[in-house]
Amino acid sequence: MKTAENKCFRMKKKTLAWGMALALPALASFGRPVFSQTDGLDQSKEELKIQLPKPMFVGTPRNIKTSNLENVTGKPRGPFFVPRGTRLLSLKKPVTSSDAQPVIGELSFVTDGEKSGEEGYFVELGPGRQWVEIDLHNESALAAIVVWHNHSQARVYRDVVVQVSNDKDFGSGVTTVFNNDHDNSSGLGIGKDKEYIETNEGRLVDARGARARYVRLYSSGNTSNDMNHYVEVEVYGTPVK
Amino acid sequence: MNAAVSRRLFFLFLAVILAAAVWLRLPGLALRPMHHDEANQALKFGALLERGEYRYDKTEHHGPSLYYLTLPVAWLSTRATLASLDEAALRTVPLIFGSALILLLLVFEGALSRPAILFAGLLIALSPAFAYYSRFYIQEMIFVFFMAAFLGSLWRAVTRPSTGWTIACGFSAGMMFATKETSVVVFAAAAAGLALTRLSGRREKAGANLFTGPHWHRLFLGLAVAVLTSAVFFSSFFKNPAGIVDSAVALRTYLLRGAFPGLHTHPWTYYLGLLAYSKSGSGPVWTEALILVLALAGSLAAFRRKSGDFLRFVFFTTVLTAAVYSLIPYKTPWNVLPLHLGFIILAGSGAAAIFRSLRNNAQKTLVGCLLFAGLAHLGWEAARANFRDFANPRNPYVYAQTSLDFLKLVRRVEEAGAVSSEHGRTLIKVVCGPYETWPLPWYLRRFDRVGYWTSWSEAGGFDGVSAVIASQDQAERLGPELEGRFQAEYYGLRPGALLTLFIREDLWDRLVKYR
Repeated sequence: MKTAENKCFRMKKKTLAWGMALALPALASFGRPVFSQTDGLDQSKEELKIQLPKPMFVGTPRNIKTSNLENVTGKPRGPFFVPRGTRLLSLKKPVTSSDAQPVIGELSFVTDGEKSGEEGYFVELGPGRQWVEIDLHNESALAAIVVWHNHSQARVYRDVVVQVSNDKDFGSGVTTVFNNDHDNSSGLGIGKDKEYIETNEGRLVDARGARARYVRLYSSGNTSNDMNHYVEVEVYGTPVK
Repeated sequence: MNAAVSRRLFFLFLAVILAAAVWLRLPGLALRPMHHDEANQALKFGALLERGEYRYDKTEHHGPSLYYLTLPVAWLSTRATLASLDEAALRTVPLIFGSALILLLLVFEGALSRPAILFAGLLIALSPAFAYYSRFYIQEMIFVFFMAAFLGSLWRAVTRPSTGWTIACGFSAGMMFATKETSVVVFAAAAAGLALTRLSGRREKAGANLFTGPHWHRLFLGLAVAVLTSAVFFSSFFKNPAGIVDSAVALRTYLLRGAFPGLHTHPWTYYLGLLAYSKSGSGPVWTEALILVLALAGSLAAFRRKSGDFLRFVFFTTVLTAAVYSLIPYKTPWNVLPLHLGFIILAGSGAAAIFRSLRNNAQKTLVGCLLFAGLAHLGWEAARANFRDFANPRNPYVYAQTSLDFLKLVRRVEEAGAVSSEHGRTLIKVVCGPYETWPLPWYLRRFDRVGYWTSWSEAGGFDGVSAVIASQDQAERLGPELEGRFQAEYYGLRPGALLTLFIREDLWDRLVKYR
């Protein structure tokens, strides 16, 4: 019995020591509202916090595990870490498009900070392949691009391609950071990224530090109709000095 | 005004209205992807066409008239197989009945003024609801056609008893029942309408003849013709006598469905709202309010001293039909047509009454201009419904419509079949629940080897399979089994419903290579 008590005491001491070791760094990082520390990971990085709109359709899309379709878990997306100092660059920045006269809404909706999936928050571009382009005003090291197409219902946008460049016409110096056009129907090359069902989380694209002033996003209709929609695009990064 | 319209001019106007109706209905009959229900009906017709097989199902699909009335269209277009049929051929049937409905208004001549008939014809031609469902391969337009025939011939049989009109009335009633068993609602409303017309009549004793002794034999004759007509169809021309009893038993099924409609529950205001004002999100406003306003004028006119009793009969029948249809929780937008027909007959008389009441040319010009603008708007909506927003969920007449994206899935499967070495013997497995299966059987009708399963566990192996089409819940289970061997793509079936198409890797590589 005594032996058991000693063992129990030793365990408590051990637990306390571990608890203090873990708690102190956490207390040290207290008071940082925007980004949380990536404790135990790369200290130069922090978690990207994205404000999400409420979901628009009831029920989680089914989990389909295949090589070229996104694995939909129905759980929140895991943390995504970006270099320290990363901030939202795209808010209120000018937007141009292959469809200068949208069917519904305004191009400014793309960067207005409103992400609701309800009517009145998306811009609808014409049928077929269309793009929107955001001018960040400065060359920036891009960490992440998050795109919300119309997430009012379970739908998949076709041939989603995200490119960045310092050339506003995307004639040179183009880097493709996302491409799920797996049959090259858009003519921008075969992509290996996965098709995915729109949700209120949007699609987070890892820009991997690509340096660019312009961000261009393509799509080619969706599973509900031939139109192209954008509720919001957020570009995160740090301006290059 | 009635006297001013000569008979020749009257027929000329009616012909112009008919031409306008056809112009708004005929072009691009195949534009809209087949609806779940249309595909269902098409497959049932295919069995009748190819093998002469039809057996009434008391639990689903309504009456058999649609299939038998499609036969002449198929024969005339020399189609003998399901594979040789196309959307345009099938939709020619509702197109014919939806357009001929305008000519059928002639049955009301005498009971309604000629201007009233012309206005009613114009409203049928331009009504978005009538224009849209005249291109929909379901029972509704046939039902409404025979309903108009029933109301007209019933009135004639009652007010001017004759054997001919009695037989016509019985035949129309039989065809209504052979089209939709729920026609009993209209029969009850018409019977009550007759009684109320008689009770509210001041001068003529409308319906009096029917209920007096000497004419009982006509009532029995009409009933006998109705029963015989429906029995011919429900028994598959006496090959399946049980179908006759089943058609009566089916009333219980439809009563239960009406009371417990599940997904199709809508509030009692649904039909009136559908016609008065519909707007979805940033889409345009859809309205047939002009018809409702004119119908109100027609209803008021029905109780004026100079109006005939027929208008009052239409008023009572329409109000009662609308009340029952609205109180039944089960509602679909195409079910608005039977009550809308009544509104349009009343509206035609309403428009004629308004013109009759105007005293000078200035007033007539002003009202004429307003009416012309309203009619032009209706026509614009009808054209938009049929040629632009035919599959757009913002169109209030679009209901659980197959999306245009679904046609891309079909095209992809056909492309895979084309590059396959099986040459037309492509093996396709469809693993979907019942709601997600349709309209696939219609679109895959030209493939010889297509299997349908509702569960992945029953679908067997996938060696040698060229393509697998799965609903989301089934694709979840199939994914691991097909991974590495099949390329997968999402396609839209209906708003919010997706299908996953798996194409065998070697076919996929060939597809990408040859595109």
